[in-house]
Amino acid sequence: MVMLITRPTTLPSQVICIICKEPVQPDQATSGSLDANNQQAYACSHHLYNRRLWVPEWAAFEITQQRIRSKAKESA
Amino acid sequence: MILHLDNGRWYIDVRGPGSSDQHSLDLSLHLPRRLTAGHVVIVAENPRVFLSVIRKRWMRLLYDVEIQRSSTLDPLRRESLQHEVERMRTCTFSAKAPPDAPVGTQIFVVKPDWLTDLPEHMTLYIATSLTTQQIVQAMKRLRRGGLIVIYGNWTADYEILLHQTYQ
Repeated sequence: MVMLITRPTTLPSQVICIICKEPVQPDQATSGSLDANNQQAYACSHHLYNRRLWVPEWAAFEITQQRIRSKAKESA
Repeated sequence: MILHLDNGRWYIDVRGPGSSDQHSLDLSLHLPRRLTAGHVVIVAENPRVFLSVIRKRWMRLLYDVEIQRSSTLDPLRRESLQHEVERMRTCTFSAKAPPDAPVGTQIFVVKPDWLTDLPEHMTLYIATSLTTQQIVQAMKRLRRGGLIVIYGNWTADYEILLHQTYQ
């Protein structure tokens, strides 16, 4: 879907896509799950409709973040 | 499109105009990503119809994930897809206002005039037009760091979101 909103914001210039690991501009990104530090993680918007990519990549990301969280708890 | 990032209380995604079919497809693909964060609230004009569409899409997606899981040999991929399947299978939806929704409901699909009894939630999908007053009501129970996803055009009524995000 194309977004046509233009307004002044305090956006940083780029976020990192967890799927292709490339920097992406916020107007081409979408929010997904939270990372191990409970911070918002992002992916390129166009990946959303590629379910063969979108689903397994986010699922792997989430399980990895879960392990990081568990390790941090154990060592604390 | 993301409107606001780490400097605000909430994150806002605006998905722009599209048909209700596009919105339900987008939402059903995005929804599993928000299950681990906490409760999800979807505001729709007709919750029963919307939930029925989402459920159908959900079952199709679940089937697709199961196929992906059975066709992979990579251990991490297999484990994470198994986890995804379990989460999707056990996810509970309700098209009732929270006091009448079954205990343990994770996803609430509500009408714009049912926003007074929302549980604390981490994700708010707005799939219909809301007035400023209704947005304020819905955001009262949105936890810090939560995500608001807006489907449709940005209207003057949504300006309150920007104001409250930085309050």
